[in-house]
Amino acid sequence: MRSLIVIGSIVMGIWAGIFVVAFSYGLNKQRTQSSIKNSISHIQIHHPEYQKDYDSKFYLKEPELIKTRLDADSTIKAYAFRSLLNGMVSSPVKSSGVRIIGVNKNQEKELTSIYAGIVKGNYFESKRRNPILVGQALAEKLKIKLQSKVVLTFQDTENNIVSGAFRVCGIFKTQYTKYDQGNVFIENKDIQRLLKSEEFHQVALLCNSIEQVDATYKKLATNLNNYEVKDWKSISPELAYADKIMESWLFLIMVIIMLALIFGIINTMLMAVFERRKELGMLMAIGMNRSKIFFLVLTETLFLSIIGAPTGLLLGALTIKITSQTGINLGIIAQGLESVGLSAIIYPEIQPHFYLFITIMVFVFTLIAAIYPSRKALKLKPTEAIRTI
Amino acid sequence: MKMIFKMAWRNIWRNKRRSIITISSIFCAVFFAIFARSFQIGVYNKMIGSMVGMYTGYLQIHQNGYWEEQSIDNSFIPDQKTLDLVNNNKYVSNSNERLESFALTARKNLSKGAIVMGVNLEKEDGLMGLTSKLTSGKFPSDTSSAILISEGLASYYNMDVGDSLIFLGQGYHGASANGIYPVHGILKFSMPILNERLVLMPILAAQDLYAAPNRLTSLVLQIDKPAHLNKLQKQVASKLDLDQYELLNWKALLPELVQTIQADSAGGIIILGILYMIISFGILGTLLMMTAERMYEFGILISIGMRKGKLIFTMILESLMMGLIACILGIIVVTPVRYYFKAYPIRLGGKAAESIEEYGFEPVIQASTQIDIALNHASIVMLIVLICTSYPIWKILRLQPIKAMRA
Amino acid sequence: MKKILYSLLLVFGTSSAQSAYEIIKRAEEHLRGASNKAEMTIEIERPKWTRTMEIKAWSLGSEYSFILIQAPSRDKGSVFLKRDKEIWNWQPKIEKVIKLPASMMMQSWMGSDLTNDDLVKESSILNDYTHQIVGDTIIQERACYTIELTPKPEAAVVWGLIKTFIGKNNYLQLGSEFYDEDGYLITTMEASDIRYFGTKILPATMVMTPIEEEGKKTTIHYKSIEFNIDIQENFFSKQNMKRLH
Repeated sequence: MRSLIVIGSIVMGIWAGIFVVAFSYGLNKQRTQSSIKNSISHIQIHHPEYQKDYDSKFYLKEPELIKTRLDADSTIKAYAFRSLLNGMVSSPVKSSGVRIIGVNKNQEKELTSIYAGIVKGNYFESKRRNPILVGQALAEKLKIKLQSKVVLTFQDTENNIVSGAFRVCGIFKTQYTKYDQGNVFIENKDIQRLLKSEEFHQVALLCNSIEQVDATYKKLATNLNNYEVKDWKSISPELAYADKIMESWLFLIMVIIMLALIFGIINTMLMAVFERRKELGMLMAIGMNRSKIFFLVLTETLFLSIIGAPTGLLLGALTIKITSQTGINLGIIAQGLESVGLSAIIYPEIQPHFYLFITIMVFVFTLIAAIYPSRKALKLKPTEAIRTI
Repeated sequence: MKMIFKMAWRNIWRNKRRSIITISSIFCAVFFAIFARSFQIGVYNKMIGSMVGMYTGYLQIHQNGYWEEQSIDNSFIPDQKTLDLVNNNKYVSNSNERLESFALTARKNLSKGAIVMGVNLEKEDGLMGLTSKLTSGKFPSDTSSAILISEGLASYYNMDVGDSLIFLGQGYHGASANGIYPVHGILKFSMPILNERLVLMPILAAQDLYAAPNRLTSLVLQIDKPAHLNKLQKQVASKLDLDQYELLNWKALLPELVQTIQADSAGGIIILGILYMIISFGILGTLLMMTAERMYEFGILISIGMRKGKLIFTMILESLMMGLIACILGIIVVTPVRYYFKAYPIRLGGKAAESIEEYGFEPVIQASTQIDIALNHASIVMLIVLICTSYPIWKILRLQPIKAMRA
Repeated sequence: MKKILYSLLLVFGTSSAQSAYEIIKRAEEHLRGASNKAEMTIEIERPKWTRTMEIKAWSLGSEYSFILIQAPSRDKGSVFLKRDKEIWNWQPKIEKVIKLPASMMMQSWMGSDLTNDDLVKESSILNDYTHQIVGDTIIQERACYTIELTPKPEAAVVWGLIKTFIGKNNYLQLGSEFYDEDGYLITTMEASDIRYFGTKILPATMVMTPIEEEGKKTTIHYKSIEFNIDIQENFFSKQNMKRLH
């Protein structure tokens, strides 16, 4: 039974190691994916001056050129052209300053999941003219609801004021009240009509897979060198480095887990040694070499590891396989997740070299752990051992 | 009753070796659980401290309703009672007066909206670390009407120390706010929002600009030890006139930070859970071993007449006592280690560290020394010990004396 | 509401007309040709405070105007110059003429219910609405037409409906009611104190009151108005901003 416990500890150790690593990487990947899907996309294109001050006079010249390039690239799965303007939205009761985001609804649907945040109404499906999507907090502030009429006012590039009447087709809600209050969505074609020209400030695009982004990014940066092209790593560097930062954390946690494991094994083996002192003492009494005793205990531990290791590996791999399909729902623990745009479901994943790495580590540590009890075994006095019979 | 206690105690020390092993496995559990969690919490606290220190501070007093509608009309004149309340509180290291609003800045043909913070510069230096952010020039005096501007503004206007900036805006109760102010210094902030459009003005000058003499939009309380925040908040809230004022801590002021930490915490808890699994296994293992060893002893006791219930009770006591010893020892040993890692946190390196620094955070993993972590996790471990004791209890219940003695 | 207020700042008598459209059209057309100089007070009432400004204003048609603030003392000497769609501002403290950028246009003017943009916008009463006489009413002992203005589908106005009351005799706008699309009354305008300014008869006082909000009101009171004064477009210059009194 004691053997079972040692095996169990080893199995646990390996399983834990694999799971923690897989979970952490899965967590990071989820974060990156969510951010890309809900917010930043793979690559963004702007006028070179735009991001310094977000002044709408820095719109993308020759958007047709960009469009042609993007259409020609088969690695690009979806793109969306957006207008970003600052203006005011007014209801009969109140006015408020807002950021006006002009979208192409079909393009956006392919690109992001913003329409998932709609709590009332629809995403530009209504037949009425000039539909507008407002945040719930803004609707409350302006005392408007679905179908209400509002007036949007903004400027064109010559600083003339332009205004138009819009109808609320939908109300959205994110967990950031300030965002809901400060942003409204309308269709690009309506902006075009009011400004009498096309004015795009941003193009966001998604590649077919994240692995293709680097190459596509390099291509676009060279071809579209009159614009500022940024990939998700420069837009959100913290995502790019998240893996690296997490590796430091992981290292710390693994050290702690391994230490806990070692002590567990030391304890168990110590118990085992003393439990068997009669037996060991007997062996010593009949002349078995001290060093042989030492290696005896050590080898026993080794055998246990040999049994435990593959079991642990198997269990770990199985767990990963299953959870990577079904995902782990963190929603039970933290409701805050979906609000930060993260999915509450994590899909653990791990790179194969870790299996070997963790197994070797646990193996080595187990052996180190076994040294102390083995040495204690040497200190047993054969005479005492015999006496307890 | 007392006898059972004595028995339990003696049982423990009867077999020193075994008990020490058991205690040490529980000790390890306590140690590692607290150790790991200290780092997790330490990192969050560091993040909070950095974010809070950038701008909001830990605790703010406003006119009631200000946070909902942040206009200068919602400013207040602090009464002496409130000032005494905060300044005499032992946890408050300083109280910073602020008058904040917006204005349009203009120079030559350019204009740009800016956030204007009327402050006491020395006090804000204590909170926001302004001296280290000063890239050129110097602080204006409290009575002057010179200003400090952020890097973004300086580069937008292509201006330097000594140049002047025009301000246009709306003041208190509709009065117009306008003036022209010389720049005495330029500050670099790590947060882009602040770096692009922040202006720091001596509060007297700001109150004059906005026609708001003696008025504040917020009173920011500086705390030396963030651990005291809850206590401080309770103390202030109990004496503050809550009809007139509102008291908000950083969680209300920075809700996105709260959500980010919560989201992160979920992952951390899972990992902690796994750690617990391992240490529980360790404890269970030692108890298993111990039970197996003592089956003979139990057999004898039962056969000479000891009631099973008493034996079980004794067992539980033994576990509790060992657990308690282990927990106390664990806490004693882990505490200096935590302090060490608080003073000398683990430094991250490389590009990742650089990117963290860009955001104004220190790339370190620091340990927290909060007492509640130690107490919480020691309690959890005690619970685990109790739960694991159910194995020996079960064994005792099923015990058949003759079989046990033959073992 | 704001557009109406602006046009009311310079409302004058109109010649008689029959259709609703023509009545209103005449009032609008009158604005374009006139030049005038006025002294007035604007009182802004809010639940917690009240502000009274004394203002001198010059205007030529609807494209050029000067507004000089004479009181309160803190704002004394501030000048706003409107030339077409642009607004310029002179502050004695700053001693520089500043053009109001488009971003400032949506901000409230001097804390009032008007935005800067309202000062420059052409009144859209004629073009953005369809007009219909729906009845009669008596206001301040004068017989009035009740005219309903319904916004055209494309019009960039927040109202669902405006009711305006125009005196039958001198075509004075004596009141207006502004409704949202659900039919709730949001704001009212009431004119009173009708008297002669030179040879023209006009209401000297106009009060705008938002209905839903307690204690909020804006009152304009004309102390004097001179019509057809001798000023030209070159009077409305940046250099003159410093010289106004």
